[in-house]
Amino acid sequence: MPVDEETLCAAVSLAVVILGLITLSASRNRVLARMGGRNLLRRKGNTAIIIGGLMVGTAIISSSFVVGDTMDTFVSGIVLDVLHTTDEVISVQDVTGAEESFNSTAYDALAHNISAIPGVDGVSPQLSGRVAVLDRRTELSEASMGLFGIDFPNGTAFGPLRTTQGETISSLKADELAIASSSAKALDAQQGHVLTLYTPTGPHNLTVAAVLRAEGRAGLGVGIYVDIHTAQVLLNETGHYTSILVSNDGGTKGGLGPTAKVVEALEKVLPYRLVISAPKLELLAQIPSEVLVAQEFNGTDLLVSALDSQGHPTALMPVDQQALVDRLWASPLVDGVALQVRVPRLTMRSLSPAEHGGSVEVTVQGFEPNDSHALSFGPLLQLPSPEGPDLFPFPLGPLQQDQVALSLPAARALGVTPGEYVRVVSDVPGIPPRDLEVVALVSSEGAGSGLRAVAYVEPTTGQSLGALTGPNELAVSLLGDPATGLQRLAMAQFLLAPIVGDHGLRFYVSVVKADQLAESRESVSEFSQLFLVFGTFSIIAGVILILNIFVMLAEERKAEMGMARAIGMRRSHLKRMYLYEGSLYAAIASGIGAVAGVGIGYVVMMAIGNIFSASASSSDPQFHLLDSFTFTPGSLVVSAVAGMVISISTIAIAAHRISTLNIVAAIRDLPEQPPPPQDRRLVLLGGATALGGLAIAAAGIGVEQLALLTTGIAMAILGCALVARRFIPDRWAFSAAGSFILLEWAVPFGWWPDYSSDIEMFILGGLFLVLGALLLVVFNSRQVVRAVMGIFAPARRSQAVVRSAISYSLHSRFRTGMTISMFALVIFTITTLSMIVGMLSTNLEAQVIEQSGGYQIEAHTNPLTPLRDASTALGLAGFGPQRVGDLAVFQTGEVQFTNKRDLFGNPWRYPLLGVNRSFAEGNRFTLESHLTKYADDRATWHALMEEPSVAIIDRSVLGFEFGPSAPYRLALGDRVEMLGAANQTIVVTVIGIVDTFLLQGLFVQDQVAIEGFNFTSSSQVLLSPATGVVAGSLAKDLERAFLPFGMQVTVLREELQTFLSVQQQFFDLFSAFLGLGLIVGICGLGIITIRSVHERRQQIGMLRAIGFRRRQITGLFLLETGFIAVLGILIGTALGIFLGYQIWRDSFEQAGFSFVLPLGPILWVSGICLMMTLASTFPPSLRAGRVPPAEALRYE
Amino acid sequence: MTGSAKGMKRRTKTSPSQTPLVRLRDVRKVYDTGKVRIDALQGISLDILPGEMVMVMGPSGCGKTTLLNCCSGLDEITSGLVEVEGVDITTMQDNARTDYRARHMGFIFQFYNLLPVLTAVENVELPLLVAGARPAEARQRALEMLDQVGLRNWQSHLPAELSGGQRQRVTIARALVNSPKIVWADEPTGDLDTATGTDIMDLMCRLNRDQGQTFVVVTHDPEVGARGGRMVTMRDGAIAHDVLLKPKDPRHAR
Repeated sequence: MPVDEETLCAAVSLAVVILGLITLSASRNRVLARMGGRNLLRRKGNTAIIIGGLMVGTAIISSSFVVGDTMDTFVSGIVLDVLHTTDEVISVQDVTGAEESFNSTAYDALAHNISAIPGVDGVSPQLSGRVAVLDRRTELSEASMGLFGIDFPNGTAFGPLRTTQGETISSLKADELAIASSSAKALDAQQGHVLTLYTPTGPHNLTVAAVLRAEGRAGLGVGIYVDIHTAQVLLNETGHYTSILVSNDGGTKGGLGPTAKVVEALEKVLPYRLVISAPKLELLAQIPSEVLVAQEFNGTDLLVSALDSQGHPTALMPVDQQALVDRLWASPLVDGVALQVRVPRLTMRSLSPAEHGGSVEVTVQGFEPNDSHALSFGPLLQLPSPEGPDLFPFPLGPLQQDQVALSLPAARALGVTPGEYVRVVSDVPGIPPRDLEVVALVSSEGAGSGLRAVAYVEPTTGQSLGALTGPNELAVSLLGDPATGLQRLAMAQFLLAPIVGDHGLRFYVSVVKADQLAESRESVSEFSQLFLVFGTFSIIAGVILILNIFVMLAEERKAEMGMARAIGMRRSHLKRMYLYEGSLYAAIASGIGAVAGVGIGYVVMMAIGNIFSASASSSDPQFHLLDSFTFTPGSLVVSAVAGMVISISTIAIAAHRISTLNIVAAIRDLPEQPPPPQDRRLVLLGGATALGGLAIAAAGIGVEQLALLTTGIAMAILGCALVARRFIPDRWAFSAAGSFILLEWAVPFGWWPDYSSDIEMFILGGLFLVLGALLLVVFNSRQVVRAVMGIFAPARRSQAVVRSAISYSLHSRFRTGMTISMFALVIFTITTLSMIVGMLSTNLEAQVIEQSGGYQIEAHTNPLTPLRDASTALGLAGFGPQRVGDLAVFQTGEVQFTNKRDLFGNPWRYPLLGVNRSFAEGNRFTLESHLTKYADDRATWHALMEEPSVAIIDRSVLGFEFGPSAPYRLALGDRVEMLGAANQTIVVTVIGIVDTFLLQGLFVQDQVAIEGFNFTSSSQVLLSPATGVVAGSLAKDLERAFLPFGMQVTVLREELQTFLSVQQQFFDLFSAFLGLGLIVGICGLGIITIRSVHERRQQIGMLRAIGFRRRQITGLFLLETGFIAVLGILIGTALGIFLGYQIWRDSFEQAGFSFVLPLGPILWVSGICLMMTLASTFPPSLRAGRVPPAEALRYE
Repeated sequence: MTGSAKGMKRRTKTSPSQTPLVRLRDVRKVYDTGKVRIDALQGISLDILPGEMVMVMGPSGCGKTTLLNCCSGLDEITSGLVEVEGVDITTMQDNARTDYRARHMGFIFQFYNLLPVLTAVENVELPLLVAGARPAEARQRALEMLDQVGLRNWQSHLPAELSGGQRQRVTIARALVNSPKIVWADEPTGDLDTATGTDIMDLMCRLNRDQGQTFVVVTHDPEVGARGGRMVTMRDGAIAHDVLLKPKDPRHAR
């Protein structure tokens, strides 16, 4: 997450403006500036404490930047190390979007042209795949390992292969391999060992020629490297490659520079790819009406589109245009082919007067309306003008350049009529906007669109709008009535695909280096932002501490401020004086804080490194995060500025509060009175807050944003309380407000299912819950004192101490409230995190069952080498009933949903799992949902075995609540169409969604899989060990026995335990980060105690005079701070449990998780927190007890 | 009543049958910072009889407050003897002396020194609670005392909500709540206007007269000093005069 130049410039500018304004103001008010400066130097101890408090926020921001910088360096380092000089990778996709290998002759034809591109300094082919491996000497095996065929000597330029001794490998013989360090470690393989590679062509023995250092291509430490010709033999890909590596000028890092230009040139060198699509089926997925869909596209059944290597529309080459037309015409299925220009997603804006306005995203379609077109695709019909003689739509005449005919949805959205002008804007750079005259509106009858925004233009206009040099698409009309038999389209698409595909290879350029760096930066940024989110509570605690410190400073200087006011100093003068003084503190603190953040960042990175190392059980260098420890000056500057802005803003608020003091009260050191209920300003403020809150809540409802809604409601409640105090006592008004805010957060999250929310709800939840609880406690302080006195009633001699301590605590509402909230916020977060971790850990069994359906082991083979008859194969290999208990065997294969596309418009390929009756009746998978006509999960599974036309699908189709969305979506009741083995269409309806991430696929009856798709083998099984058999050893034996099939076995419990352990460690790390907030709170209490002892010396003397012993005075101060800490801890814990319960009720209960209250960690954290508080307040409390009474009474 | 001190100009006569409540013999108090040595009390000998109202006067820095602090056990003495009811409080451990103060002494200060966070009644009952009294009894006794000083209706008010005179009355109630043998008052009217000061002195004199409560009052106000039964005047850490006064107002006569 390195700081970009814009952010840095903005930060520096902001700092210059703020400090400049303050300096300017100070130079005009020199006396005030001098007073502020001298106050800074007045008490050096105080100054140190204040700077310490102020630097917390900066340090937290700075540390999260440092975490980001280090992670960025670390991840980028891996990307650059592994990719080395590889900048782009060219691969080939089939018409359905799947990657496939290609003939080496294609590479030979392209290599020269690619090499000639300016900016390219290397091209090399590569062949990769996965194999199972056995070290014959150590007898250790790995079920799936990457195999990379290197084109020596060119290929090594794309990442050198160096042995652990540092020698570069320049060639490998046909029976030799080199193995990366981690893979060698897993197999205990050394130079000279013979490894058996189980490949699609059978087992092959190769000798280890070298163990590779974890750098360059072997940078991740995994994989086997062989000569590319050896790889071709092993993977049964003789004469084939899987990709072409391209290196740009400039080396590893510098290669990024020419990327854009190289990619642009590659697009010209590489042939475009053709995609065949069925627009009617795509629309049918959105609008379930065959009549409407057929009418929308009329005769256009299929589209053959030319896309460049980046997926953008591109013009068909003239030679291809004719060849494709001829080839498609030759098909007996086709009755019409037309070339056209189609540019999707252009923005069109009305140029008419403002009352029309509007803009719309249109698809521009350019072709000549002519007879041949009209015959097979249907005519474009123009709507009659109201003033014209025609009553019915009539054929659209030829269009001129700069003229456009609009579909009705487009015209309506833009509010334009014929004769008006529209402007078309492309998001492709370099294409200027173009103004067109609307000459006609197109009827939905005929070929015109009635549902979509379409603009019809003549071809050259269309080409210029899409920067095309010719037509880019072929519309294909199939034999038969356009209005019927949409189902035949999927089959036609499938059958015509080879005709289109024969046209050529569909090369696809992956900008690997730039993309992977961008992706890694994105994920690093999210990761470091998590620290910032958790650090927010500590930053808030820091802000509260600043407020507390300044209010205390003001209290200390009350009398002198009163005098200053009395002799003519205005409120604004006081405000400025504090601002000047505070700005000096803030400037110093932000500088020190930014540097301190580097230290905190180092500790955090050390902890993350430990977590990674432990979870990976590896000592690989890639987990030595601290080697990448770094920070940029930009990060420090930005965090320093951010911290300074927070500090100065807080100081400005504190200064305003201070400046409102009452002169007489200040001089006589009388306590400030709360504003009278009649104070009109407060009533107005309350009204405005309430109305503002309601407006925000309404906006939240409008955009379905939970954060806005809840914040708005809470603001409205607070505003109402401010107004209500005009009529009822403060206690009633604010107690009611506190209760309502707590109630607001008691509403189950499930009430707002469609509202969007993210991690900010956690922060808001914490803030508002703490606020609600604080209002209740602070405005009912007498009742709280009474309750506590009741607890201490048996200890009669302590009554005086307890009462004095608690009364002191609750007397300073602002100071105590702020301090309590510091503790409560942090403990709240730690408690909630502990509860989530506790529930996940304690309910491990429930999770195992939920995810695995009651099976303990998941095993899958290489899809290329599935097991023919898994049950028998297992039995024959010695895994009969004596070793294996429950066994679920699936008939597996991959199918394509012909009526579904993913969110990117790509064909949707999905695994199919044919299940047998014993699995359907015996599994314990929970269904996320099922059609209501089935009584329960069991009935739904039962229906699957009874009805061949139904299916159950895994929950990944629902997407995720947080994080990236799934690229495809399905809902309960959706119909899925697939092409069977005999080209028949097989339709199933989704009747249930299974709640597991373990199995991904569409579950159907095994008979459907076998008879419909001819899937007769299994690449995935689930099983449980028989009684007395250890899952771990069974898993190892299975992997060994089925090594030739590349079987990988997972013991689910172990997997989940590892996952939970990592999760726990990260939560611990976040808790430790939150601990910074606690330290702030504890420091705050220490400061308060020091100040209190100072302020109350005379009272201490009096208490000693009337009979308080030294120990009692010490106890009084300890109890006072302890009470604040305990109250904060109790509020934080209670609210954390409250939110934890909410989370359980909304997310875990349904999954069968029991509610867990992890008292151990909560008590431990609370205990430590309390002990630290008492330790920090003990020295001043002890000093208070030792104050000689006579001296204290003389103290003024 | 006997009083003796270095430089004493007048010795008053007392009845030998009365046992002094407080007995000071050759009390010295030296403040020695290492660089500066100040003889705050220079061999003070003084007897205070039960029921007396002793007014200690003198210029600023003469040792009035030091004398009061040493007599009450708030401060350590350098040498000499301080006996209260025949008990030498100078040899007591801090805790024992503190407990003794709690049970047998009351204090009134110039700046009231009420706990601002406690109500009037809570302030008054504090000495009883610290001495281990039952809370209900303490509350009852505190209310009685507030009644005596005329503040029963102000029991639930915080000090900030009371006037200076009312605060000092609360202080008097607090000083008397544990039925002390002696009440030490340091400038009890110093922070009050004349009328309120007179009012407070009236109250103290009434308690002295009606209940026989012993008061030792440090003041530099001659009018206040004149209200007592005996005036001890100090100068430079020693007693300059120790005289019995004739009350000007017959209401104050014993």
